[in-house]
Amino acid sequence: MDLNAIWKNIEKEKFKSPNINKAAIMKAISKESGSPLNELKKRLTYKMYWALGFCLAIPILMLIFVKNTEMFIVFSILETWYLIALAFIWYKVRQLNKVEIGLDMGNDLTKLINLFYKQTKQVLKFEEWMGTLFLPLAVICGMLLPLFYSGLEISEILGNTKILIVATVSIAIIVPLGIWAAKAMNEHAFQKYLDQLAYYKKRLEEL
Amino acid sequence: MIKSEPIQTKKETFIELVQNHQGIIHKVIYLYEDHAETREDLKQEVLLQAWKSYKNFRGEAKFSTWLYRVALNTVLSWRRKQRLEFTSNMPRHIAEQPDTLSDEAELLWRAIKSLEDIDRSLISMHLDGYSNEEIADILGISVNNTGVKLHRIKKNLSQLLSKN
Repeated sequence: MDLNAIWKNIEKEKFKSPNINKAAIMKAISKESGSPLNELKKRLTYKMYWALGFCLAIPILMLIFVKNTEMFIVFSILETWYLIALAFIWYKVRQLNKVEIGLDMGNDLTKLINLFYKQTKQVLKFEEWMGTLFLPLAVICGMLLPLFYSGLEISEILGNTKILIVATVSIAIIVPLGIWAAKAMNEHAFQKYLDQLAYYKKRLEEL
Repeated sequence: MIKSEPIQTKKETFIELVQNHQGIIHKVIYLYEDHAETREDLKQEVLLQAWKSYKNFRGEAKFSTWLYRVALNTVLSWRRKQRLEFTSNMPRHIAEQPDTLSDEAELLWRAIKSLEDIDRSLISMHLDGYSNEEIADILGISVNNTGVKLHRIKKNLSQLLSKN
């Protein structure tokens, strides 16, 4: 019994799968980077929801606590800040949502990776920049609100050396600490996926 | 990946090599999976794993040998995962479509499919003309062991076919 001859017959009749064309190979390749792309999109969306949460929470707090113009101004500054952040992140997430990951992205994979890398970096940079400006402001607002709530006026607060020293020391301690913590959290949440994208991009350029 | 190749052609080389040796991928998948849809998923998985491993391919082994190893490892890992996920009394596959094989070819095919995982690949590689050294290299067993196993499998298959 010639096993080889029978095997040739099996080979001819059995293994009749559709041809593996270039598109199929590129589709498989794109799966490698699909996961970090999805993850980045998801994490940026979470960031957007956080900003949205603050945007909604501040007016509620205003309704409960605001009892003078000074408090209204302080809350409004915070609300404006979060609205700017929300608008920026929403715009970036919307751009990423236009891309359907996993579907026919093989041919433009490098372009897609670049888009995700750039958009995520921009959001992180923007957040860093906003945070650097926002944190001192937030600390000041955080200190002013209870003072305004207790009935003190701005002139009284500015004339009180003790309050000014506490505010200065608080800013000096909390602001760098806050910036460092925000950076560390973003690194933990995003850096791994950004590194993966950079690696896939390099591989695509090399191959 | 062959280092001296110009960068622009390397990507094309990978695609071309896979296309030229795609028979290996089809064969390994057919050996272990009956369900057409799952075969498609497995094909994608093999291609993905091949792509991931391509950076380690230095051209020391033949591309066909390397691709066979990647395909086999991927399919066998998938089978191990499947075994963990499914209980023994659950139907695992939809019945395979009938083929137009001759009786003895059908018999040989079924006999090969009834073999243990490694034996299945071993005999198919042998029938494809791979040397014992290449088979041993792909399967990670000794050349002696390959020879002994092949002898036993071939004897069993011949007996089975003669009986029928």
